[in-house]
Amino acid sequence: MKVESKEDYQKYVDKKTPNSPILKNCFNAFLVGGIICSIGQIIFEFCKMRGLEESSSYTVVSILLVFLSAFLTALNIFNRIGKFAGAGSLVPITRFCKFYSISGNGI
Amino acid sequence: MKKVGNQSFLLSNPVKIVSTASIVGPKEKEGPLCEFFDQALEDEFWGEKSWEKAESKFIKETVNMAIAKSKIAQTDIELCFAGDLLNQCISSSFGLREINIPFFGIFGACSTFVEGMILASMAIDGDFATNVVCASSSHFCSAEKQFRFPLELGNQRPPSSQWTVTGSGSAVLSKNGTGPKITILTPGKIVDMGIKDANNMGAAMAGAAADTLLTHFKDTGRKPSDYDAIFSGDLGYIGKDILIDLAASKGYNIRANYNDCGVLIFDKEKQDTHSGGSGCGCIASVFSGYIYQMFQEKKYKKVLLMATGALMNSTSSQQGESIPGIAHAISIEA
Repeated sequence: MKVESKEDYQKYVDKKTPNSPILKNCFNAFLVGGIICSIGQIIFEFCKMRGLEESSSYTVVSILLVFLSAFLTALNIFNRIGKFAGAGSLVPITRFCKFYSISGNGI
Repeated sequence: MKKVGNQSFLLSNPVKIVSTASIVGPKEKEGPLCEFFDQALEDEFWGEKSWEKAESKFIKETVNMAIAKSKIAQTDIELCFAGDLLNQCISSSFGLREINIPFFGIFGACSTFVEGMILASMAIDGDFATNVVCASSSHFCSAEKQFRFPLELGNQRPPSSQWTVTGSGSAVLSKNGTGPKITILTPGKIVDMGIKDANNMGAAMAGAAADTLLTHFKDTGRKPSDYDAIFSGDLGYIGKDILIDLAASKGYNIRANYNDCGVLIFDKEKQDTHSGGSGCGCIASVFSGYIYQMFQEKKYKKVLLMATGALMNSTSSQQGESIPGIAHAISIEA
């Protein structure tokens, strides 16, 4: 191995460093993200079925999902989901809750 | 003290490491070195309200324990060198505010522990002090919060990332007494290899480690095989591999007796620590626990201890700056 310049070194380091398993991460994100959205949709349909207006149903979905993720954070479960699913758990509305629950922890 | 070669110093009177102490957190307790630490805790808060307070308690208790073990009266310890990773080194200065010993807060990122031992050895060999205490600490939770993401965010970690050790190590160095001796100091230069990825610190620091290691060999005329063991701390798995390659490219084969404290402290497969441990507390606790114990059991007679640090902060990473590395080495002999 020859390291003559910083560029050489960067190339060598890139070769040495294992990549993140992108395909697996994408699949997990798709799966978990999809499950979270489906849960949201089920809550939404249930609210509408019980005669709630559409706009109010959306609000209920947000409230429940944010509550659920805060609750799971407190139980130390959400970080595990986050580790498994990556963006799949953080792109949906559940991410909002993370900011609130974190600021609540004084972080 | 005599300068040898470009940047190494031979102590005229070897400095004795009369006692050490180490305290680690719960994850380190599950690691392969658990039995060597003086104390391993179940609770990473250690009964405190914040991780920062817990880290201060780690360093305070470790220093007190090292001083107690040394059997030297606290009033006879003339200087203290300590540091950590938190902004403005608050773990050390808050933890040691009641220690009542003249205090130097130092920062060398993960190289802090050996940086402190080098400064302490110089102070002792230069007749400025007889007894000096050194310490450093890190805490996974407070470090993640400062350098990366809040833990509860549940972010994914790339395979090259390292796991900050929750723990602290402390050593009492003295002109008198018994214990392994520090004989040669090789303080390192800042080396920037242009790595910008804060999740690949091993690669960022390996260049500095190679520079210090090879300089040490050239300055002293020693070879890797002169040492029973060479320890770096903490390059992790990737940095360790890179250092072996870099040394080999310059004609030094260190594969046989070289290891890294970040590799030793965790079980990579069982503990999901990716590239291994890091943090000021890593080499500090591994040296104060495991390596010192090996000297006591006479399994080691001559060890090169080289601590490596990534000299970045959270702002510099956000601004896309590359990460300068540093490595300080000391030769310890029975």
